[in-house]
Amino acid sequence: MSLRPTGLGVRTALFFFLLVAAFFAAPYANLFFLLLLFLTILGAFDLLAARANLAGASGRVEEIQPMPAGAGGAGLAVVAAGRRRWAVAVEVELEGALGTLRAALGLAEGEAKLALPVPPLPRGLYRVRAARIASTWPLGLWKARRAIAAPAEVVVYPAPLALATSRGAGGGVGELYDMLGSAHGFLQPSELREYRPGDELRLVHWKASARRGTLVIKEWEGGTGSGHEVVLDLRATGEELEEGLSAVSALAHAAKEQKEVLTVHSQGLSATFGGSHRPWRELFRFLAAASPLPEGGPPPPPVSPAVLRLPRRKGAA
Amino acid sequence: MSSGGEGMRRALRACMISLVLASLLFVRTTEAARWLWLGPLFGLTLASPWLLRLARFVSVRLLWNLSVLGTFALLVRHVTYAGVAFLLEDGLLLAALCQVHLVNNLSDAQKPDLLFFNSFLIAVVTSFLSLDLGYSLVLLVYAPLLVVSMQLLALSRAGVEGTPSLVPAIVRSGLVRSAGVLALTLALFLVVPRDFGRRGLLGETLGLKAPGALEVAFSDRIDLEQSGQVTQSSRIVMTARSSDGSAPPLYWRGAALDVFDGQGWRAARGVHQDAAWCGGRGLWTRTLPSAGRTMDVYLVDPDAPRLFTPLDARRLELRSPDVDAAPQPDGNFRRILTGQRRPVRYTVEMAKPATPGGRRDPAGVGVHIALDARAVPQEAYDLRHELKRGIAPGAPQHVVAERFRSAIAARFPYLVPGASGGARSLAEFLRGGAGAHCEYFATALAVTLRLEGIPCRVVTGYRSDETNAQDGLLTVRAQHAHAWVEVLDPEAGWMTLDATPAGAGGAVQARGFLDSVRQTAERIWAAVAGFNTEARETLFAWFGALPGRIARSPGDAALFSVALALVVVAGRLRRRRREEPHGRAYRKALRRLKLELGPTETPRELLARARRTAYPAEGLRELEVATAVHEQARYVG
Repeated sequence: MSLRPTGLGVRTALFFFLLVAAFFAAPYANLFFLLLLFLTILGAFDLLAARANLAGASGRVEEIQPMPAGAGGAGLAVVAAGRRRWAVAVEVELEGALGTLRAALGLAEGEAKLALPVPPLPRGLYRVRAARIASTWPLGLWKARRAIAAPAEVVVYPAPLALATSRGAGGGVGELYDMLGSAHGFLQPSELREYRPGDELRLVHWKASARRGTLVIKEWEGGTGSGHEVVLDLRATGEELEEGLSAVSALAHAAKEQKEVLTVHSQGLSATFGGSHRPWRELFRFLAAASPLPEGGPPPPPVSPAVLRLPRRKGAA
Repeated sequence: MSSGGEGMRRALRACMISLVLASLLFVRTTEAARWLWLGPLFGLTLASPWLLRLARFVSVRLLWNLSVLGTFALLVRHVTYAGVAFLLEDGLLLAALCQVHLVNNLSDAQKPDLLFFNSFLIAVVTSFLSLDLGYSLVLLVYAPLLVVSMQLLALSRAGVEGTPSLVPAIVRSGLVRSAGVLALTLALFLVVPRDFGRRGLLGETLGLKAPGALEVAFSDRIDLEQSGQVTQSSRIVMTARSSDGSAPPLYWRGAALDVFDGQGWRAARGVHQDAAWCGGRGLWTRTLPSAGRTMDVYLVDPDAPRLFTPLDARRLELRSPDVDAAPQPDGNFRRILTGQRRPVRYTVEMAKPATPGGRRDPAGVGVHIALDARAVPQEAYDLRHELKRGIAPGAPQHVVAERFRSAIAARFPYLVPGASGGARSLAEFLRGGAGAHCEYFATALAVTLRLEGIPCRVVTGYRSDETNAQDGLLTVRAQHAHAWVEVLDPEAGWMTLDATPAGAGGAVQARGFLDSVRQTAERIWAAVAGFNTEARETLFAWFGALPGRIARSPGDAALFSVALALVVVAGRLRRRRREEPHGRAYRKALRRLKLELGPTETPRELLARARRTAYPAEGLRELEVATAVHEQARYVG
C-alpha cells in the first residue's frame, strides 16, 4: 500500500508550515499552541486512518468488454472490502487516455461490485498502466492506494457504420450487408481436405467421404463457405481506412447479433470470427489497432474477386 | 468538486455556512467588530442559499462585488485614520468578510479549501485577542464542524453518491473522530514540554507581548478597564516567618498609588507622608518605635520588582549577597534587578502599630487628597452623599473612614478578576449590579474618601492569611495579589483600610446550577489559557503521586478500580458494537462446540472438520447455520 498527500493535503501542509513559522516568530501563546497541536494531530490521525481504512482490502477489475469509439462503456470492478470501509474508489489509469477511470463506494463491506464507467474514447488500444483501490477517507489529506488486478488493455474499436452514419459519414450497414450477400453464391469449390473437429457437417463432401472411407470436407476458395467474407485493405488514406474499419465493425456487429460468422482478410489477418471460430474480441482488437499502410505496401491475402473489398475507393461504383 | 449526490452537496454547504458562522462568532468574541458590522455579515451568511440563486444575474454579481470592494475601502480608510493599532482588528473583519464572500460566490471546487484555511486562520488570530469562555465554546463547536466538513468534502471529491443514510453516518463518525482528536490534543497540550516564556522573533524585535491570560499578580499600577482572561495562579511569591512564632502580618505592600485619572491609579512623584528610610548597602532603618519582633522573608519570585514589606516595617536587612534595593518615597522598596534572576532573603523588623485618632488636618497632604473632577464619575459623588448619611458632623476621621469602608464592602458584590459579568468601569461598578474585584473596591473607597477630604492612597501588594498553624510560616501566592487603601491619620500616620468584602479572593459563591457550571467552565478554560511551567509541574506531581495515593487510600483505590472496570467494559461494548451480528453468532456457535478457526482455515473448512468429529447434532446444526449466514453476509451481500 502506498500513501501520498492529496492536493488538499499539500495545501494544508503549506498552510501548516506557515502557521508553525508564525508560531515560532510570535511570543509563545497557549491557544496558538493548542490550535497548532490540533492541526498536527488531525494530519497525523488522517494518515493513520487512511492507512487503516484500506489495510487488508483488495479488489480486481473484471475484463472490460471492447467498446465502440465515441460511445463509452463500463467495466466491472469488485472490491473485496471484508470489514466496513469508507469511501473506497477503484481507479484505472489508461495509457494515452485523458484522466483516470474511477468509481467509488461510500461504504463498502464484504465483496462489493461497482460499475467502472469508461468515457467515450477514440479508436485505439489503451494499455492499462495501473489499477488500484484508493481512499482519501477520512479527511482527504492523504490518499491510500493499493494495486489490484486488471485487464491489460481496453479495446476501443471503430464505431460501427450506423454510428458513423449518424455522424454524417456515407454508406449504411444495410447496403453493405446486401453487398455481402450469401458467401455461397460467390465461392468456388477449391479442394478437399480431411475433416477436423469443429467443421460443420454441412460442409462434409459425402461422396468423397464414401470414396475415401473417412470424412472429407469441401474447401471453398476464399473461405469456409459459411457466413460472410470481407477483405479489408489497409493500403488506404486515413479517412478511407476509418470508413472501411467502421464498415467492418458494423458487419461484425451485425454478424454477431445474427449469430453468424464473418471472415476477414487483411494484411496480417485472415481468419473467421464468431461461432466456434476465433472470438470476436480478436477482430475488434485488430480493428482497434489497425493503421493505414502505404500504397506500395503488402496486399491482403488473395481471395475471390467477388468478395466485398473495403474500404470502397472514392469514386468507385 | 466532482459529482457527489445532492444530499452530500447540501450537507457540505450546510457545514460551510456553519463554519462561516463560527468564524463570525470567533470575531465577535474579540469585540474587535461591532454588531453594526457583524450583523449584516451574519445575515448574508444565513441567506447564502437564496443569494446563490440570484448570483446568475450579472447585476447582482456586480452589486455584490462593488459592495465587497466598498467595504474593503472602508476598512483601509479606518486603518489610515485609526492607526496601525487597529490593523489586526480590521484585518480580522476583512477575513470574516472574505468568508461571507466565499460562501456566497466562488465555485464549489475552490470554496471548501479556502473556507477551511481562512476559518482556521481566524481561529488562530482571535485566540490572540480573546481568551473568554465564549472563545472556548465557539472552538468546541468549530472543531467538530471542521472535521465533519472535511469528511464530507473527501467523500464528495471521491465521487461518492450521498445516500440518505450515508450523510448522518458521516456526521456521527466526524463527531466521534473530532472528540478523539480534541481529547488527544488536550492530553498532549498538558504533557508536551515547551518554553512558556519564549518571546519569539516578533516579541524580541517588535516588543510584542504574549497574548496569554493575565495572571493575578502584583502590579505597580492599576488599570480598571483592562479586560480579558485572568488566571489565578497558586505560584508561590514569598514566604515569611515571625521570630516570635506569632502570625506574620496579612498585608505586604509593594507600591503606593496616589494619582487617579478616572481609569486607574499610578504612583505620584514627590513627597509622601511616610517616615523616611535611612541607610544603604543592604540595611535600612527609619525612626519608629520597635515592636521587638522580626520577619524572615524569602522572596521566591526571582522577577519580583519589589521587596514586599508590612506597613509597620522599621528596619530591613538584605540577607542574600549580590542583591540590592532602593527605598522609595512611599515607604516601599524597589528591587534593583540585575542580570541574575534569583530569590532574595531579607529580614524586616516591625514597629509598634500606632493608634488612630485626632481631627482631620488637610494641610500638607497634597497629592493624597487631590482629585481631578473630570476623572470622578457622578456615581461617586452620589455614593459619598449617601454614605455620609447617619455620620455625625465632626466625627473623627478614622470613624468616617471605617463607616465608608464597611458600607462599600457590604454594598457591592465581589467577583474574581476576569469573571464574566464584572464591571468594566468605576461608574458601572458604583451603579451597582455588576460586581468587581479588589481594585474597584479600593478605588471606590479612595475616591469617596478624597471627596470627603480624607487623605488616602491605594496600595498594591499581597494579602495572605495562609499561615501554617504549626510553624507559623506565611505563604504568599500570586493569586493573593491585592489592592487596598491606606488612610493618612493625623496622629498615627498611614493606616490600612480594606474595603474588599471579607472572604473575597476565594471562590465566589455560585448563584444556581447554571452559574456553578459557568464558573467551573471558566476555571477550566482559564487553566488552559494560563497553562504554564508551574501548572505543568503541578500536574506531573499530581500524576506522580497518584499510585501512592491510591495505595494508601482505600476510597481512592475503590474509585480507581471502578474507573478501570468502566473503561474495560466500555472497550468490550465498543468491540461488540463494531462486530456484526453474524460474526457474533458465528463466534458463539464456535464457543459452544469449543472450536477455534485455524490460522489459514476458512469457516467452510472448519465446518467440514467439525462434521468429521462427533459433535452434538444441535451444536453442529447451529454451526452450519451460523457458517452459512456468515458466508452470505461476508462474501455475498
